[in-house]
Amino acid sequence: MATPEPAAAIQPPPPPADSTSTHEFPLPPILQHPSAAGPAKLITQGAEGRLYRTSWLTPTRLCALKHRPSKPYRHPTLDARLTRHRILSEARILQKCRREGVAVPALYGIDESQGVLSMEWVPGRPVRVEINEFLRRRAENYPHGEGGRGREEVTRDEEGAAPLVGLMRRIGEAVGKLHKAGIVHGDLTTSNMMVRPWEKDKGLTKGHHGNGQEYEVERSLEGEIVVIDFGLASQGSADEDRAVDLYVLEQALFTVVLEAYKETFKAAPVVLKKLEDVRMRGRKRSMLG
Amino acid sequence: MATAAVEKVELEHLPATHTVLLALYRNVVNAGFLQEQLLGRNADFEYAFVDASTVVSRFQLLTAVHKAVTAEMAGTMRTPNVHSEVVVSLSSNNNVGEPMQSCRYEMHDQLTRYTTTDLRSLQEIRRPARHQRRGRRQSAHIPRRRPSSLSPDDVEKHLQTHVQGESVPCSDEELARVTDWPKLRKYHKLSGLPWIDAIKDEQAKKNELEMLIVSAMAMRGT
Repeated sequence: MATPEPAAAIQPPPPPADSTSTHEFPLPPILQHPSAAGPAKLITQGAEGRLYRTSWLTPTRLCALKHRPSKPYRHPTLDARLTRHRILSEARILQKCRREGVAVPALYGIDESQGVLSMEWVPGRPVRVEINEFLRRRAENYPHGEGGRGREEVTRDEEGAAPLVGLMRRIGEAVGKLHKAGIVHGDLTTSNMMVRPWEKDKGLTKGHHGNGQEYEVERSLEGEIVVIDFGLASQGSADEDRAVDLYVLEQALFTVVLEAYKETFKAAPVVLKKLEDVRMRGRKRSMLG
Repeated sequence: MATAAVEKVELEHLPATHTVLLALYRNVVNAGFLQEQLLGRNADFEYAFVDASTVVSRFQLLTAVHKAVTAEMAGTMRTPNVHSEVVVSLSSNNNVGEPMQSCRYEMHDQLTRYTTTDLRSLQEIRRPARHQRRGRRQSAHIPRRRPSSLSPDDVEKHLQTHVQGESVPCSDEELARVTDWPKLRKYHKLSGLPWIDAIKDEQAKKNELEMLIVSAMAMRGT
């Protein structure tokens, strides 16, 4: 194959042995060793890395293990350097947040040569899922919509909206703390924020240890906001970058509203199309002005 | 007395070539002797002796062990052997310019500390199979080799003979009884964090500190 010729003196890192053919992807070496808690579970896969849920040190302690596999199309030396740099940068940022009291996963271990970062497993569900479900529950509780319209709109005064307002406030506080600590997240979507049940409610969420019994828990958006995935984060205090964080968050939160809107209102696509027009027009006006 | 002094721990995601043995002793009176064995590099004393007052929990301790074993397997140890590597992994000092020296000082320091304070020690022992270095491990060799190195019983006997102290279970409860928090916070530079001092629940505060220490240990040496 047309792999680039590595320079003679440079030792490329050994490729991870993919003897475990049961798995779709080559596992990082650490996950090829025995574990009393069973095999690691692939939670998500992004362009840069894969996130596994597995055990750490003892079978009962869960951890989120992020693996940045080496990219075959990159020169091995460059690949190793990039991976190392990114793993270390993410680890440093987690550590810094932790010291400043920003709720983020604790760092358990790093193996930068293998591109592996192990963190505390954050129980709970992403903000996106929680909000969606909250809106769905509301729609079910108030089935009397006008013309098929549910109750997707939630205002401050409306009875029952307090949990959502509370959640939004906690999101704002979490992002404020993050920026105050000198960290810019870089991908502040509602999937990258978890709602971790409060300590006193922990008993209710035991289901997370098993596989996917997450629905048994009845919650109403209660919990601490834990920001996760600092893969694109950077240390800095440029207001421009902070503003971009907020812009991404704004879009992400509104997307949740729109998702629920689409689910409840049949003619939503037409309205959303119009929304695009309105947005464009709005932008043009402001640009002209 | 009759209870087993040495506990065998299987760590997740470590190959079967590595076994962790833990023991905790209080009121150790012959720390000086133990220290001499280490400094004299007595091969019978392949232990990582750790001052238990600087240990928060089993989790923290096992994190250090895991880190040391990982380093050994990757060939990136900063000290001569995996036992000293455990001690260095627990330490707050990032300066291991001369691994040999610093490791000795580290142990020296740790051990004199029990003699001067109220004498307790924690022993944490790791026995990797000897053939591990040779690479190309055939899994068939491992079970045969292991008994020929030291079994937990052998280690226990050896410790019982040489450590003069009161053996207690190496549990989080026992460790918590001897943890010296002010010292730990100083070691790990965890003062001047007002939000931590503001946590009212003592357990929650300790959990936060434990996680900060573990995170810092993970970062060290990178």
